[in-house]
Amino acid sequence: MKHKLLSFLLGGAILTSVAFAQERKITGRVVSTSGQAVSDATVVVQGSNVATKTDANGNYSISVSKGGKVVFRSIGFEDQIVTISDQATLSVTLSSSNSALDEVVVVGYGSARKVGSVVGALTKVSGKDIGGKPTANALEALQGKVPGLQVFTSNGEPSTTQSIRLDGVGSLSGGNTPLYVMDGIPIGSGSIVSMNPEDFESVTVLKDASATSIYGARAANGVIYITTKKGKAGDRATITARAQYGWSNLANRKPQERFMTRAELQGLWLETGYRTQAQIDEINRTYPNDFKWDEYYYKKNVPIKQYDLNISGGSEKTQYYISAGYIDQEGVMYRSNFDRITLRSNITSKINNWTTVGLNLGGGYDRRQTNGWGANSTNGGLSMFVLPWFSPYDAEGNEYYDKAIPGWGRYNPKYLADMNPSPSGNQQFNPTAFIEVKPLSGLTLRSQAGMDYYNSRTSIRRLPSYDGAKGKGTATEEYSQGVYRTITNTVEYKNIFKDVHEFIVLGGQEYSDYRQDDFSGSSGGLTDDRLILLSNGTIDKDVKQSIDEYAFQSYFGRISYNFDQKYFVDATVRRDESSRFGKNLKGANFWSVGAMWNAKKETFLQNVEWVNDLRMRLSTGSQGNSGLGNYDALATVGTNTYDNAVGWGISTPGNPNLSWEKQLKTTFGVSANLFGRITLDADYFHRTTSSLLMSVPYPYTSGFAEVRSNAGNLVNNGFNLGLSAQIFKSEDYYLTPYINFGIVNQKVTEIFQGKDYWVVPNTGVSWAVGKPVEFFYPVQAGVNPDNGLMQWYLPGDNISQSTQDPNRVTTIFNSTALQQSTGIKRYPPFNGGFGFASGYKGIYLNVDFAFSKGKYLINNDRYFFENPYNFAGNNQWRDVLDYWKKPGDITKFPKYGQVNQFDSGLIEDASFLRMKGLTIGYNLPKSVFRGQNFFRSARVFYTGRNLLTFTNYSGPDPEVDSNLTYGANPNTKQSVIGLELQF
Amino acid sequence: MKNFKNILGIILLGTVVQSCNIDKFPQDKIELSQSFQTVEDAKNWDNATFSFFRSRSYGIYSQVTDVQADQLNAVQDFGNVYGDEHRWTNFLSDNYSIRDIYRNYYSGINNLNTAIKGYSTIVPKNDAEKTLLNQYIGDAHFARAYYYLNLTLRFAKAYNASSAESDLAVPLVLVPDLEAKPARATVDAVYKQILSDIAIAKTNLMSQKGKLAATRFTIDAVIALEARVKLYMSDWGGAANAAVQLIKEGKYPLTTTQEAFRKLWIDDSGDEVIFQPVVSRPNELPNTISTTYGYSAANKDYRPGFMPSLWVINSFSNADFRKSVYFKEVTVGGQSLDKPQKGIVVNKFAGSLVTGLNIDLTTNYVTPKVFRIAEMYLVAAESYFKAGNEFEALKYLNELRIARGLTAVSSSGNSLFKDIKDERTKELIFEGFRLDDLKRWGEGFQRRDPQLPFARTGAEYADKKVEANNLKFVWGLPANDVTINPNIVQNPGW
Repeated sequence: MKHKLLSFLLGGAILTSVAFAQERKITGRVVSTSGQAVSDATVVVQGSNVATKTDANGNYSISVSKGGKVVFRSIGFEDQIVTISDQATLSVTLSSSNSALDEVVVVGYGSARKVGSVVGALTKVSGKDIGGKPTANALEALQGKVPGLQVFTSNGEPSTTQSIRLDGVGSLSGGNTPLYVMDGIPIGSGSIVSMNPEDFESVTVLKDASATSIYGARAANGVIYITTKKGKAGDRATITARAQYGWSNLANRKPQERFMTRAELQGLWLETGYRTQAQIDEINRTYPNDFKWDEYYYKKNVPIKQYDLNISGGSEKTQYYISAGYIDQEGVMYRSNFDRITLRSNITSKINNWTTVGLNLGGGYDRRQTNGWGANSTNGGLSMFVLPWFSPYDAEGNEYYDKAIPGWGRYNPKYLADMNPSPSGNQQFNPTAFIEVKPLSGLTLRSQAGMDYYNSRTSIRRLPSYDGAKGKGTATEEYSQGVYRTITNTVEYKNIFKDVHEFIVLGGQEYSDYRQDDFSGSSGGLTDDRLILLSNGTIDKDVKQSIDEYAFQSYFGRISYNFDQKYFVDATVRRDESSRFGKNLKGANFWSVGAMWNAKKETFLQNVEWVNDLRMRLSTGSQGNSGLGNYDALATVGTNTYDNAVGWGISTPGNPNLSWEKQLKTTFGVSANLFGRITLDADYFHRTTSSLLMSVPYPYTSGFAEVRSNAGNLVNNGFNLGLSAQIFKSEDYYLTPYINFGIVNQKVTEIFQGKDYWVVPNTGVSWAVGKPVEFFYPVQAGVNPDNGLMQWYLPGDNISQSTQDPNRVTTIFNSTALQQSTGIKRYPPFNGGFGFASGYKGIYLNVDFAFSKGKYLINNDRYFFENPYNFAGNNQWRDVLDYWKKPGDITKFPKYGQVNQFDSGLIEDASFLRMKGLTIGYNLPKSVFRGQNFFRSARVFYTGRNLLTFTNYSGPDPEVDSNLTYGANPNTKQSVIGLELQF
Repeated sequence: MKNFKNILGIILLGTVVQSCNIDKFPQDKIELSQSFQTVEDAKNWDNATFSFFRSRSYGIYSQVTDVQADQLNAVQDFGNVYGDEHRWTNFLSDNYSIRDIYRNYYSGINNLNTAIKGYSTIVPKNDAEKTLLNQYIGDAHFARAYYYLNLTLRFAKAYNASSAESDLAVPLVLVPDLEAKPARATVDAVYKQILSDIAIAKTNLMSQKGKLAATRFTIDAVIALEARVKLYMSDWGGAANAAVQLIKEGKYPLTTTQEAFRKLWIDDSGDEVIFQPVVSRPNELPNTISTTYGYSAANKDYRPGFMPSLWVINSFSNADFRKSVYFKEVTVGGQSLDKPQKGIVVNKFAGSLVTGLNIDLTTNYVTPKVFRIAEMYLVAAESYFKAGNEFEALKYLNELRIARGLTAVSSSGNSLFKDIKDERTKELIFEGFRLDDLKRWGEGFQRRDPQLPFARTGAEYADKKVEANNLKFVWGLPANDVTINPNIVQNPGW
């Protein structure tokens, strides 16, 4: 069977050659470069179905004719082909394949290069780790896969976009989102959810100065480079079709289960005297239920469907990849859904010996709706205030639909969703075209143009039949168009002198501009559900419009040199001019220098067999963050209306000196491949951000609350590690575990106005010199057992130090006077992921975990749900039963009648470990497909997302990326089954 | 072929040196430096003076102090909206109401300062333009006086002639200066500035004759503001003169029937009104006072956050035209009520379904009645009383009482003062005057007599007792300014 399978696998159906010459038996041994036997290596006669395997000692024997070619292959090694002459024995040494190093990447303009020859630090995540997930946004696939990259999904909306941070938080209010570039063209992070992850060949995260400085004023947060799939030349096209179907649920229902039952809540009401027994009896007569509301507001088992079809192929001259995809996902909360159709066509053609042209067209149409009853709404985030004895069903079991639920006084969430539709339709279009000319050997001229375009329409209605405003429907139509255009021209010259001196010189120019054009119209007075266009309205007719623009003009260059693939150096420069910068500033200049040493090339390592590869890199350079508003630099006057006439009033204070945030990043890294099995990537980085973009607070007497300015410095340094191993490897089974993580330390070194600290108002977050961004809040000292009052520590003279002296406490709350450092970091210092890929025969199992440690949140839900006096009359978590009743009681909560405050009691450890992905699949054996050449392969699989969450956080979702959270639409989990066929 | 290759190469290189325009300007805004070129520009700034004035009337500007005072009780389901203000205990300097009121008055002042400065750079082309420009200057000074009065009422002790020169009020900012870190001016200095602005407004608006329900500042509005300011300054003669001047002018007669009084409040008839900003749907909507109303269309009942205490309702006799206009008995619902039941809500700002401002009663849009003649009667009565002229005091008190369907009183001495205070409290109820009146009268309070079972009970709510010397009668300056501006001294108790 093994033999048969192998012969099928390797020989295919090509058995045209029947001219058997004299066959003879050849024997030998297959060893690795370290001399170890390679067992289970495949030995096959090329162009035949003759194949065998090596035994445990690496020995084999096979029949082959003279002039035949024998191929030796084993996972983790380079193939070796030997032409047979007269020998009877043939022993071969296989060298480890560093396929990762041979992979090609595109690094900041210029032509593609092998990963191993790039000085810049980068991590590439390949398409197989991105496609096929039960989530619309490709970005989530990066979670836990890239050392130093923190990826969080903050909510359960199917159309959400993840928050991404590389190497910590380098900007306090200039934004921390990386620059996204797809096939050389910058795109907005919000566009990615409109694209099919299946179309991504790879996503490469560019990390250090050598890799990012060439992107200049937008590169401080790193660059995420998306490469879409290309066709591969072959005699026959490859068609892949896949269908997936599954269900979504809340990732974690524990917080919902904290709410009290009828008996518990009534017990509390009686005990605190909030209600008398007689009143409780009355309630029980009127509302004899004990309803589980969480499953009413947060649906169960909502469907998700995904279909993908792609075809790739081509000839030597022209390659194509075309694809179509569809996803339809419903959210767990009402009126939350997303469906998306995508199409892509990527064509590259070599029109003559020196000219290549390419056109990538990616487009899609998606429809989305999000739950509109926000975090602060008792129809949304605070719906769990509902008392358990109310019920959405009447005595006959009929659901209340178009009238308020008795007692609760609010409509059924489904009714609200039905009556208040707000669907958006978004057209996304991402074309990229290039022409590349090589007029001389080594010289490449390239012009590329592309854009990121969306066109979004939202139709918001309150239907006239809505019971809450009967006959008074409203209509709003919103239109938004964004065009982000980029044109890039580069010249690259590449040459090798004396076989060892390789130079690549690159120069280029780039112009990009963005224009967003929005308008909306609305009308009211709609009376009939059949007549709900804007023009059917009779009153409140209103229009709005806004236009936002910016532009960048840039020049850049790079020189790369390597000596014999052993010593590499490169240097980059970039100049950016932008419409966003203040009048007093012309342009921003950026630079980097970097070096890499390929140690394996040194003679002293050449014979160290367990070291297959060892490289060290060091780079330093500057980048910018241009996350200032489009017109923040200008002092402007806007309009308003009085008595149907236009009025002019001050809009923005302006700042003619407003500039980009400046970053200097230095990275030292080591990457290695050991024993042919272990891959290691480690780096240490140091980021210094200066001229921090801040909304510097001003006294209100100035007429402004804040002015966008450059002030302050921030330092981040840390360590990233990626480690993977091939523990078992053979054609039949494999197990490759991995771990990636990043540790980062942050320190504010200077802020505005020479202050030592600034507590950002109403956030609980402080920027204090010499410390990371921290939570500053009044610090609880526990409930005084004698009087049942909450106590807080009195801050010391320096509130940047946490002062917790049991002898200095107060029971009088004051949010400003008691605020002080809690010693808790705002940003999680330790993030990463681990997992493994494994397989046995046709069965495979892949598991991916993501984690964050040292992550804290102000759990504002607890202010609502653990505040039985302040929110009396609403349901609460049962934790509140632990309150002070009599002297001597040691309790979590003070005596009834005290308001629980915004203090350190709400700050909770939201560290988590989440099983982000679990895939079990089965590849049908090849024998199934024998005898036909239509199907190539087939597999069935199960994929789960967020199946397990481990956290001590009590709120709905620990993954929320914020300082404070309440009423989150929490993350969901998916279980999906799928079928994939290849033709 | 070789040539073509080279030409193509040159074209590609050529595009490298193309130059592109990177200047981008907003299209819905203009640069400040370009905005004071003509009197037509000044007119636009003047319109904004009114637009900003409208957005600084009613809403939090009157509602918050009433919630803090003694006439309203939080209901069980009030959701902690204005909870700190109502309880006093945790009413702190980072409170949003404090922040918003302070910040918005100052951003209004910054606009006015910018306009006043900009107006001085415009050269009018002719006399007509000159007249217009003077009017705009008058409008700006009027609005600035009004904002400074309200800031001082909130953030300073009541005017006391003996300590006004040392009591701290708010910083006086009279020219736009982004980098300024002004210290607090004294109560005396702020009132002097207010009077100086009023004087300029008086000169410049002399030809803007008053009329009923004016929607631009008139000379009468200036006089009404003067009367109010001088009352707060205990300038009894000045206050009485200003108030009586308006009363005697006869342009703003008191309504005399129940129906006319109802229309004045509910249907925005404009009677008795000296100044009110324009309001209209959909772009010129006013702030509302709806926390005391809370109509729920879903439940067809009312869910106010605060309800008036019974003693307040009962202080109005049944003959009083105001009672049925200011209050309404309705069905009150709520999750914590075991079932909906009858209760009394504030109806004064319910809004009308006939003015076109409201489609249903969930919105409560009404025209803010910023200056009304009834206030002038009360200013006159109190000022004459304080000046020792009980005859005139009684006269104006009784004219108002009779217009409201009541009989004349003939009290004297402290009893007359109490009658005047009670009348003021009733007439101006929930318009934002109560807390300032208690403060200047030196009175504390004891909340009492809540409507049950709706109201929250307990020492922090329905039984709240506040002494006259409670430091939180005077609001603390917002934490932001105390932190950012080293020259700011915080009020005691904050």
